[in-house]
Amino acid sequence: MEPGMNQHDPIEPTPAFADDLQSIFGGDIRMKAPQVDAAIAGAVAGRAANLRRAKLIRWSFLPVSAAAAALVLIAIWPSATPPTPSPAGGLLASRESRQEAEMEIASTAKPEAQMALADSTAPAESLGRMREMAKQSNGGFSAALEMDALAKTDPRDIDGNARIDILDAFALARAAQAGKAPAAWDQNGDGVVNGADADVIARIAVALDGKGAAG
Amino acid sequence: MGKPNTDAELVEHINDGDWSAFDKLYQRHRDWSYRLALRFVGHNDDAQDVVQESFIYVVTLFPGFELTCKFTTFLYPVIRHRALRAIRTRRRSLVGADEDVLALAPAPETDTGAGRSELATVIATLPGGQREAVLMRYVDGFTNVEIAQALGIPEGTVKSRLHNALSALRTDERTRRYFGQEP
Repeated sequence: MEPGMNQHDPIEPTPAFADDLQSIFGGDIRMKAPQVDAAIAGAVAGRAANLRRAKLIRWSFLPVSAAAAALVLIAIWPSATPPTPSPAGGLLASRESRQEAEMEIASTAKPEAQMALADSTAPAESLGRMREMAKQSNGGFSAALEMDALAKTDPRDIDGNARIDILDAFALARAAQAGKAPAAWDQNGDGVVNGADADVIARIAVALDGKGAAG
Repeated sequence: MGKPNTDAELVEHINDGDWSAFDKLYQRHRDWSYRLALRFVGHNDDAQDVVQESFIYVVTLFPGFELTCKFTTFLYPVIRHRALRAIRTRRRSLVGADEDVLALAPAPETDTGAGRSELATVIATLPGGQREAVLMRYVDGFTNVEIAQALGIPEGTVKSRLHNALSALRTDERTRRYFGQEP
C-alpha cells in the first residue's frame, strides 16, 4: 500500500478490488496512434525551433540595440547637461536679471540709492549710479555685482538679442503701454518711459539701415 | 548532467534545452494519459485528441516549467480539463445531473467478466466525485494527498469521498466480496 493511503480504514477493500478496477478501466490498453505521436513530435520540434529562433533574434539584435541605445544616449546627452547660454538667450536672461536686480536694489538699498534709481535720466548713467549706490548700501552688494555684469549690455537692446532693431522699439512700446517698463529704459531722459522712448530706438534702428547694431 | 531517469530529471533536461527528454516523458505517460482520457470521454478518437492537446499544452510550458509534484498529479487535471471540454463540445449527456459528474465508461476493448461487470455497474452508480476518487486511488494509484492536489480540493474531502464510496460498495451485495464478505 502506498504511503498516504488510509491504512486503518476498516472498510479497505481487498487487492482484488484494485485489480478488477484496473482491468475494467483498461489497465493494459495502449494508445496506438502514430498520428498523435507525430503531432506531438512536431509540436516539440516547432517549440524548439521557435525558441532557437527567438534566441538567435535576441543575440542578433543585441548589437543593434546597443548601437541604438548609444545613439539615444548621444542624442540625450547635450540636453541632460546644463545648457550653455547662447548670446541672445543669455542677454534675454540678463535682461530679466537686470530687472530683478533693479527691484532688489530698490527694496534693499539706502534711500539715496532708491532716489538715484528713481531719478535716473540716462540708462547707462542710471545703471552706474545705481551700481555705486548699491555697493554703498547694505544687502545690495550682490545685486550691484550683478548690475556690473549687466552694464556691459546696451540699454537700448530691449529684447537682449545683442541687436538694436525695430523689435526693441516694439518691445519697449508694449512694456510701456502695459506699465511694466523699468526706468532704465528711459531712452530720451525725460524721466518717463513711454512711446517717445520707443521712437528713439526706432530711429536708431532705421538709421542703421535696418541692419541693427551689435549691443 | 547524467542520463535522466525520473520525471523531475526529464523536466530539468527539457528546461535545459534537451528536447529529446520530452519524448521520453511523453512515451512514459502516453498510455496512462490515453486510458485516463478514455475513461472520461469513452471514445477512442476523442481520447486521442485529448492526449494530443494535453501534451502539446505541456510542450508550451517549457522552458521554465517547474514540477512541484508527481508528473501524473500535474497531468491529471490537464487531461481532465480537456476531456470535459471534449465532452461538452460533443454535447454528450453526462451521467447524473451534476456537470462535474463524469461519464467514466469502461474501455470498450476490455474483456470484463461477470463479476467485473457488476463492479463496473456499481461504480457507475456512485456520485461523480466519489467515483473519481475511487478510480484515482485504485486505478491510478494516487495517494489521498495527490488526489487532493490533482483535483484542487482538501485532503479531508478526498477521505470523505473515498469513505462514502467504499461504504456504498461494501454494503452493495454485488461488490461486498471485495471487502472480505460473502455476497
